[in-house]
Amino acid sequence: MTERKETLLRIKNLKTHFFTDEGIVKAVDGVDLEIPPKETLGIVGESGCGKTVTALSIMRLLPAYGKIVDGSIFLKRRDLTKLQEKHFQEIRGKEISMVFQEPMSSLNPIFTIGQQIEEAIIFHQGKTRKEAREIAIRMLKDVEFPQPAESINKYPHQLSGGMQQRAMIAIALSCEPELLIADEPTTALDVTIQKEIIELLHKLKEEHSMSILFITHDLGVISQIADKVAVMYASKIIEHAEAKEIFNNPKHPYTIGLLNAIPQIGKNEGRLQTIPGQLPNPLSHIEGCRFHPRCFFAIEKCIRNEPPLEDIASGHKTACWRQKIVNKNSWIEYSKRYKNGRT
Amino acid sequence: MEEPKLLLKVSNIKKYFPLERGIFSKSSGWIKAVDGVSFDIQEGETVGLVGESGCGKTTLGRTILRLLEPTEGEILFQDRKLNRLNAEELRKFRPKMQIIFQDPYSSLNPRMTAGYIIGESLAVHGIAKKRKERGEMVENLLERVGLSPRHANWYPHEFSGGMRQRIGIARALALKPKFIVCDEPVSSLDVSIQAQIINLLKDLQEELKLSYLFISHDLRVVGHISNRIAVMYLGKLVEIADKEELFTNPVHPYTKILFDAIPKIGVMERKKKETKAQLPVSYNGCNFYPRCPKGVQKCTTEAPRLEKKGENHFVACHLA
Repeated sequence: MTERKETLLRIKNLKTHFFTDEGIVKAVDGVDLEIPPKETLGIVGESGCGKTVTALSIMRLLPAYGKIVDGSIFLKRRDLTKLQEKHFQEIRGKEISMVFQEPMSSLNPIFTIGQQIEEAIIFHQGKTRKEAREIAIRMLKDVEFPQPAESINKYPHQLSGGMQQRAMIAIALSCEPELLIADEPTTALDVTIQKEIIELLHKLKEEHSMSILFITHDLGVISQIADKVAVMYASKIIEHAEAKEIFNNPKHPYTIGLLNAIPQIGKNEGRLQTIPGQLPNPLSHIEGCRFHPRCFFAIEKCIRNEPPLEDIASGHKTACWRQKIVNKNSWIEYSKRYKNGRT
Repeated sequence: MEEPKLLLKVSNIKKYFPLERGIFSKSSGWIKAVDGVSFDIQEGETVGLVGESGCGKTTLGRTILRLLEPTEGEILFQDRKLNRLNAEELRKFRPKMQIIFQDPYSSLNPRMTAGYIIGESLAVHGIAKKRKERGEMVENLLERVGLSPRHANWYPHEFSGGMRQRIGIARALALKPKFIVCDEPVSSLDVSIQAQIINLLKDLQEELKLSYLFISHDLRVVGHISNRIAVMYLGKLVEIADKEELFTNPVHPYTKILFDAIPKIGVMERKKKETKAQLPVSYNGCNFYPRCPKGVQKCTTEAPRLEKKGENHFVACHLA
């Protein structure tokens, strides 16, 4: 480390469990993450892998049956897990804020978007309603609302999905947070609108010099926005690297499988490469590497011991016992061997 | 290659929904969900249908099957005029055309076992009247879609999303159809499961000589599975061509914008492009004009028709 940049957010060994009637679900099971200032970290993974729960743990918005059982979340020097709710309220919405997947169900239908933006400004910055209104109009201009001064009096149902998401972003940014958590912000939108929102987030990130934690299941979207990418599988991070590195030189069998499973336009005629099997049941406990039942490379060791997330090159971490032989080419070869072995 | 046989031909089909309903109120206007669409599907062919939400793709799929009554137009299926059939005739025709729905969570009855869901149509159409016979057919179908016979006794909530979609596929296959409308069959599935289902659909097509109308908003998926692709915008087809042709040589400005918006993996492109994103309004001109980067005066007064621009390549644009 040549340059000592203070990390904005540092998560250490975070464990969030859900206590349900059927048993304990280890939704997040030992996650380590760091986000430096002005950087976008993308978390990518399939449904139920724990990416949203990681975000909700940071924001302390977990449902009643969910609890952080271990680990720490440092925002600069403060451990958020140790803060009282009273103090945490000063952070939520001001220093960290969040944009959700479905703008329609996240906005309050009985208030105008103006009122919803002003609320946070009045609460956190102690402004008067009039001052807050001016800031709100400026925010709407920032998120490229046409005619912000008129639009401010509109109700959510009068806006299209893309415009609603812009309003959500305006609310989230109204107090100039240092970290914006965006949980699948474009998933419910059409591709053309999705592209606009991604471009908007790029612009706002520069203007407001903030960091973004961007959560999605879409590897295409993540490659358009993230500086670094963390891939999650079954409640753990299994690979973490610069975005370019993840896409050009993936080293975990799951990451390679995910990339291969996406149809590419103009390429790969015929069958898609698939990862065999299903996502694991969240209630079950898998010995050894969590991915081993679906992995072409699995050996004895993978079934018995869980691999740690280790540095394999500068800034590239992966959790795999077989990382020395895993790459894009060997994946194809092993997948063929695996399929022949079964039939 | 042998001469492809025409399976389905849709001519100038329209589906309008009245804007106002009630006992006395006359409809004050129409929502033109599908507004004059014509295309055809050959035997064993997959035609992909893409477009943004609300453009009428699902309505078109359902109207072709007469799950919705067409307002106007003609549907020719194996040389029979589908739109002229009465209820009884239509019922006899139903086994030949099936549909797979988008959401495997809401399209399966939670109170029925998988076996019942799949076998129901066999009983209704009198194909397997005896229970035992039906059970065997259901077991075969389950195995065909990659599940096992013991799953027949499971209820939908016991399956994962991908497995549920396999049940939806088995149900569609039960009556040995010739044509299946796949309405966003993989949109709600995870990437790794999505690939499994796409492969399954391709295998089944080859084996059973099926034709698909594959509806999706995901161009990557449509591009993978289709032979030809039709692009729809506000109730109308704006472009239809062979897959390779469409990807290498898109002509309609909307097709170009759509392709441009697909997030490309590993390619960082952060240049800004202007697309006027306004809610389009319906009027006499080209529906796409409000968002079109190239529109001219003529576009506002006259709607362009789908015209031939190349081998198997049709475009609806004055400027093409």
